[in-house]
Amino acid sequence: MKNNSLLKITGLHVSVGDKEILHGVDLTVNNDETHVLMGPNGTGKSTLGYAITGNPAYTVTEGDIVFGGESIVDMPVNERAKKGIFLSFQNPLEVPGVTLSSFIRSALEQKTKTRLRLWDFKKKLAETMKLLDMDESYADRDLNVGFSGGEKKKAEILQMLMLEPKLAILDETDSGLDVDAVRTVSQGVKLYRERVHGSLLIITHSTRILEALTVDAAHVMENGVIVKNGGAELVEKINEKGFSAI
Amino acid sequence: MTKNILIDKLPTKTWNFLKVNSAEIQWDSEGAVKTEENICFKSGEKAEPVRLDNSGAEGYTERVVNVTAQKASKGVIFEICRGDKPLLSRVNIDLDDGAEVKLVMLLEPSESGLVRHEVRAECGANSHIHIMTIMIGGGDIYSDDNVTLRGDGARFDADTAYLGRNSQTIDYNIVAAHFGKKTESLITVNGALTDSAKKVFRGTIDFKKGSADSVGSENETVLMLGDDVVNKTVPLILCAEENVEGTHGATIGELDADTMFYFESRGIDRETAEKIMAYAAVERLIHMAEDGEFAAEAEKTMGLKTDTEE
Amino acid sequence: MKEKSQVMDIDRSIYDIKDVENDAYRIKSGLTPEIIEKISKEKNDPIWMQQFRLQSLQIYNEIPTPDWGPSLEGLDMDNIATYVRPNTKMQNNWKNVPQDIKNTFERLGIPQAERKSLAGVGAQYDSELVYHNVRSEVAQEGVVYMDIESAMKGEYADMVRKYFMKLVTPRDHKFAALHGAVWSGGSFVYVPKGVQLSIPLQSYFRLNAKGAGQFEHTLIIVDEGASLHFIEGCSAPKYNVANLHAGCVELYVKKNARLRYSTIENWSKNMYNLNTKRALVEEGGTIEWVSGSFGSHIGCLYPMSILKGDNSKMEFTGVTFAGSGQNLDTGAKVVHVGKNTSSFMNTRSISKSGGISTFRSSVVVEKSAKNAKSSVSCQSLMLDSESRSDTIPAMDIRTKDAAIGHEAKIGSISGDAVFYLMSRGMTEEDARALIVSGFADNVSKELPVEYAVEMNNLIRLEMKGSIG
Repeated sequence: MKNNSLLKITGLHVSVGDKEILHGVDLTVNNDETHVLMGPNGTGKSTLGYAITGNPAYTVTEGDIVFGGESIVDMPVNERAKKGIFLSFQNPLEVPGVTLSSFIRSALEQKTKTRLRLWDFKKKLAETMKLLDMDESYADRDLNVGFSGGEKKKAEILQMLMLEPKLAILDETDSGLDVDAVRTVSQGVKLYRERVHGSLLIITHSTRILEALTVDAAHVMENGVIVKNGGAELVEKINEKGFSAI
Repeated sequence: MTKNILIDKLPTKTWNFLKVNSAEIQWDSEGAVKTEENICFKSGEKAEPVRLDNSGAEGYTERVVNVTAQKASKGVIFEICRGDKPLLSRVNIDLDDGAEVKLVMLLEPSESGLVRHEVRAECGANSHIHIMTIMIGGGDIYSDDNVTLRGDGARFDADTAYLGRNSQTIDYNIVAAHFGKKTESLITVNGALTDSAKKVFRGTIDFKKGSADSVGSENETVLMLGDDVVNKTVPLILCAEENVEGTHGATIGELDADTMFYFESRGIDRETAEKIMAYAAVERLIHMAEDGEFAAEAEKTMGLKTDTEE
Repeated sequence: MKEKSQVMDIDRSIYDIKDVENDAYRIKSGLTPEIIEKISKEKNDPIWMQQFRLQSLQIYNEIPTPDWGPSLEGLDMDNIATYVRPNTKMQNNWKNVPQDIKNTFERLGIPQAERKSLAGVGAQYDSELVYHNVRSEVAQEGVVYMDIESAMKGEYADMVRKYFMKLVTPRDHKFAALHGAVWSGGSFVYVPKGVQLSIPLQSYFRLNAKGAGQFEHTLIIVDEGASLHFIEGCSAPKYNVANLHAGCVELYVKKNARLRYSTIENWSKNMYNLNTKRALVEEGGTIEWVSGSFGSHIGCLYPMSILKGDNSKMEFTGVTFAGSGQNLDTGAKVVHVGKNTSSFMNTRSISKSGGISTFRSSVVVEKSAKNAKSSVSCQSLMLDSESRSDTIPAMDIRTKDAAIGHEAKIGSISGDAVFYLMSRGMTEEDARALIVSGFADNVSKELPVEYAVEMNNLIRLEMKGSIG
């Protein structure tokens, strides 16, 4: 499967309200690859993540997003998710009254269209939580309610590992986390690559989350366009000298 | 003989055209089967949970429970009101200084039934009353809580959740009267309305003169899920004392865009998301009650998808 | 221990000067068909109006006094003269207005304001308009601003008849019926299609006669795509008997039109102000209410907006200051009928020296009002524990895709804020006055600067002597 195009974005323009944020983005992610998207604050990185996921507040005015050989620009969010697109939110939503466990179970059931055997589900959830160093009690707690920043991000990675998407977009999943939490999250991401062989588009400022991973490609975004493409060496260069150096 | 009576009255009236000043129902008090019992939580002790089951009556029933919570006592009451016939349950609670009482209720009439519930609580200094109410089922529900924070430092928490279905009426009145200094009330009401369900919420925080340094807040969230639902909200803050803080907030509408996007980004469609969220408020309260027996009862008949089911 | 506030009489001299009552005609107090017929005759009413008055009186007698809100026990209609005619005919030049009446309006700054910043002025003294004038360039654009009684008999007779008390009918409530029976004076405004008035029109209402009522009727039609700012000011000297103001304001905002209606109400503290205001807003239209309520003994004021057309909007910005002896029950009502309609209420109320202020609102979203949005925010400030402040909002929502938000807050002036200002050299009185003015700035920011200054002066007057 390697090197078959999974995501192909061409000439993408995206607006929020009347304001255009992306002014023609081209990006290709193949199967089983790890991509890093870097760039200063407010340049449109999260917008690209939302556009791929299909946030209705973000309008594609020009260009195309092809996923698995099919244009998804007009596809509703949940259909894209079922096709295998996953976004790890920068600020995950708190949902009182819906437990983390029942939320993941509902999502899985929608994806597979079958009732899950409770025992199998619980077992897999417990195992995965252990890998992420999450206390099992979180499964029965309301989704993200009262979770710390680190716990919220872990809950996102937990969902990723359970839902096994083809493409996971991690929107600043490492920001605001302490060293230990970044390490755990990073291990979880590595596990996703090894087990699921899904592709990654990691939006980040720092390189800490990348330490456990092999980066296949890196992209730098500025003012709504991708200004530089490269390999792992680009990440190191930016890490050492900042964005002005490239 | 049934008579038309006015219940769930707003402490101070507003425009009549809104039809929120009270609720009018038919009731037969003369013909009702009446029972009365007394419960006492002993001073300084933590009592075993009390379980009240008001189910399966034959006709009009009026049941009164008088609860005396002595100084520094602790008690929990789980009450289930079900059935096919009109039921009135009144719980009078007298909290002495430092007493802590938690009343957890499941009001769940069947479609032919009707539940009226009334709480009258009088709270001494530094006492704490927590009323948790789940309103679900098929028949009309009228719930009226009057809590008087008499002593200094008394505290009242109300957590309420409902799911209105079919043509059900949920009429909910709550009054927190602050008399003592440094008293506190926190009222949280969350619910969802589907089909052509109708809900009225009257919430009053009443700061009496002399209730200095008291705090009261009400928060309500209503999820409107049916095309024919009716939601009425009347949140009053009455204030005759300078040094108090009263707040109220209400959010009424469909599932908001952020919630919808989060669910959909996980592949959950709108219909399923709405179904999950309709039960969310009730689920939250069941968790909060922290009692396996009550949770099992509550989830059993609601037809809820639970983790115990295969 | 915190110092408690002390109630002192404040200086209201410019509002309080009573003129000698040189009435040309004062009708007997009380309400009978004979009295109504007399008013009608005095006014030379068209037949339909005479009948309308008598029917309204009948309705008045049928409808009970409201069983909610402030007590109206002190208001005895048998002691209210419903009609007092000043000793002058209406003028369009201040020179011709009798000296005593002119003096009153000059003290209130009306002629000066007209010269400086208004497109037109109407001045009512007791039951009759004594002055009405509109700038010639405004008149040339086809803008009509005249006293409503002349309008009813002249060129605009049909238009007035078509709209008069159709929005607020005499059946609406007891005092609307009363108004229908005894109304007198008031203004008629018509802004033709597409005409945008950049400077405001103003009416000023002065009730001088003791134990009298003022019942002016204001009818404004802003035609398609037009816009208008209308300002209303009210005052009266204080008497020791009840006076009554039961005016009626009917506003028609046509397609894509815009109307701002601003009121600075400073009736004396023996006044029962039971005024009814209502706007009907067509597609894409906007009504904005700006309201400062400072005067009156009892006030019941809830301007209502009916958002009938799709995409119509209403905004209500209000401040109410209830001092000693005042019970001011104010707020707003809105009914969403059209799709994508929006309403926004932002109010502040202040209670001091035993005053009672109540915020009362009603937001009704009908089933037809798909995608309606409404947001209500009300804040109340208690300046002492002798006063009272109540918040009584209601929402009735019947469409699922509405987005409704409501927030209310009651509190007191923070000691830290007073301390901070005093540490910068301010007296406590000034510090508190400044904080209250700042609290009310939602309204003062919306008013033309002269009125904002007047409003802040009123606040300052009310705050004077508040430190014991």
